[in-house]
Amino acid sequence: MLKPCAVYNRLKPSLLGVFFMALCFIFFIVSASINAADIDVKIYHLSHNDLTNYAINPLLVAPDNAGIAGAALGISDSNTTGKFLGQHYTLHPIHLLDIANASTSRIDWAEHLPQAGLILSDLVSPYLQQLLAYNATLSTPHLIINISNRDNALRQSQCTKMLLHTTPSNAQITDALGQWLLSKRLNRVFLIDGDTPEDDRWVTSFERTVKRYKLKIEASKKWTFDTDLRRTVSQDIPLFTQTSRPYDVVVVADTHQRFGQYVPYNTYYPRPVIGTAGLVADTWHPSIEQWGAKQLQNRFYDQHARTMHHQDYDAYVAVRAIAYSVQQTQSVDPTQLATFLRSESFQLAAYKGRKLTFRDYNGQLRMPIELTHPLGLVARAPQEGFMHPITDLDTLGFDRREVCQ
Amino acid sequence: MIYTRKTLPMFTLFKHASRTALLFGVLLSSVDAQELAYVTNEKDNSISVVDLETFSVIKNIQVGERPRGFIFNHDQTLAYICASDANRIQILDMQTDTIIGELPSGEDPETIALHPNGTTIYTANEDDALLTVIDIPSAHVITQIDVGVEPEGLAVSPDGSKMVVTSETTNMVHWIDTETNQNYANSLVGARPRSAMFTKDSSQLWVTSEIGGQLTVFNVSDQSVKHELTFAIKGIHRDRIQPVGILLMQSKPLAFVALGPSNHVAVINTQTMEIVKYLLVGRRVWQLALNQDESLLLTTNGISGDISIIDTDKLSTIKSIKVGRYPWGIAVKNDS
Repeated sequence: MLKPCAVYNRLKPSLLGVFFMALCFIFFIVSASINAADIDVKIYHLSHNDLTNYAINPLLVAPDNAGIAGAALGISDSNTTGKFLGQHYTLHPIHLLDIANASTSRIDWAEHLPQAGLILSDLVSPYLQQLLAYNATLSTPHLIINISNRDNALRQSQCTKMLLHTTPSNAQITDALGQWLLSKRLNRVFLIDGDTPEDDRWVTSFERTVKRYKLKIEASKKWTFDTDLRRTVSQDIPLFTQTSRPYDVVVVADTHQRFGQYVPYNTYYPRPVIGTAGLVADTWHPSIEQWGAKQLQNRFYDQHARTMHHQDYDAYVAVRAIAYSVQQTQSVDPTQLATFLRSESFQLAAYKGRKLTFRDYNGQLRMPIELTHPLGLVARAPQEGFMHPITDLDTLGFDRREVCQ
Repeated sequence: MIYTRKTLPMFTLFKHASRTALLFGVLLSSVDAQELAYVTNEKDNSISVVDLETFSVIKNIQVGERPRGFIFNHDQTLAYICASDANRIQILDMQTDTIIGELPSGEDPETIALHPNGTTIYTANEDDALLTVIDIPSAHVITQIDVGVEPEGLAVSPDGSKMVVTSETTNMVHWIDTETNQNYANSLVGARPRSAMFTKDSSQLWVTSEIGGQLTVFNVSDQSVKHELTFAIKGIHRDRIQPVGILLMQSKPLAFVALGPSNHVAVINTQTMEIVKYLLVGRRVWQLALNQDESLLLTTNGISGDISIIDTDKLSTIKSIKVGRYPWGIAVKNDS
């Protein structure tokens, strides 16, 4: 299409030139009308090698395509819709180990990211903070949707309009657990802290929940064992969970799944175990089937030959949120989409039985949290009776006044 | 507020008395005269048959896995059931209440609609994003039409010229010419469209959006939007007001919209498009049906596992009847 125009530039003004000019004009009109109908939507999935996967239990090792598999399903679902609207969605993975060396080096984002892209971030906090700092320097910034990082700090102190989160914060997760404890009157907590940086962040978040819901931490211990518990579990755990005062519940903070799975049924007092083991709170579980979820589970299984997990769901929702916004705004401009995503007009049906929206003050997706045991659903937060002036979904996580003050 | 049956007995008793008298009268003239509601129980793989004179379940029929959509043929000698997890449409003989055959349906049929010609049946294949068109006499698939993700609501215009399918995750109404089986137009609606129904004169199409919380009324001629309606019930958060099943009365200018987990049915005046009333029913109300003389409206309530009976003259809920787990589809077999 550009070629005749280039030819025209080389021509001296002449009758032929006028003819070419007219031709270029016609080309322009035609291409514009096609562009108006057809939209190409490129979504970039940004990830890095996870160096902190400690899980030794094969049941707990996340699949290699955790997360991105959900994004891929989101792309095919969006294309099924897109074919009626002339919208075409594609997924472009960018893996950071391929372009940067470990945690220290500064990443040359400009070299690897497109102009004004739509980016799903599967990054740990140091990388994501670096990306956000870079994004702030751009005149046409990227839209960044965090699909895996639950760090509360990203919700409390990062209030850039161009960042959204479809994965819940630790605060949403621990509040969901806190509401369940309160509804079951399990007020006295024995807390086990796995003692990695991620566990510490989880514990800080849980302590906030304890304060909010007036629970009580009767005792807490740090997990400092370096033994392999698989053969001595019935001797070690009862001793470790023995406390001078009784407790109602054991809360485990073991985000890397190193020991938490050995705690249930071995506690000194026969009490339920919740947290990152036992009863867990998250966005999704393979056993969920209500509100049309069964269809999503079926499509996921057909595409990936495995069940769908929370990482997949969080990524799926991010793609669907983008697709819905493109559908409504007919635009792929990141800034315009970012504005729409936070607006009242945005509403996402995402198999949760109610519409999901983003908090306009920190870009966090509001959503119900599922409480599950390994094989099925137990309950769902927000629990009945927890109220909020805007929506009961805002009883989970940070409220407006807790953010960017 | 909890849906309660305790408030109903007095009324029911009165209703019963009059109905028994009626029944007695009817018995004198015809022994068989009996209106029966057929309810598919999604989780029990069964159909509950409810006698609308005595308001009791008189029979359970075992059918294929996860029965959802349920319709009769024109003379009500047969019924077609979507056995979703069995990936088939089963044919129920209404004389013997036994499954006598099946139709090829494609994977996971959820809902069905019958063309006025009585021989073409449409089903939405929720898992495959397809609409399957089936010829009943030859039990052959005529064609499969690509539609959006999770097709669900189906409606055929009473004049037979067009039909629509709504797709839940694509948020669209797909318009299909029944002559050519071509998808000739697509309209975006609110999030998660569930149900569709044409008016008797085929001039309007009503569509509900469950998550969007809207009712959209289209002009069929040009697919333009004629009305958009949202619902508000005092004391219930708007997120819980999720429109699903639609039913337009033929004898009165009234329409009913089931509002899902708000546990209410909205009554709409179709002339003024105003909401007249909200009626309290069971939990997570899904689908609706009218009896033959349109005196009773029946609702399937998924979570409470019952059906509610609404008197369409008084516009009040008069009875609830326990059926199986997760009642889904419903249709009424007329007095024979």
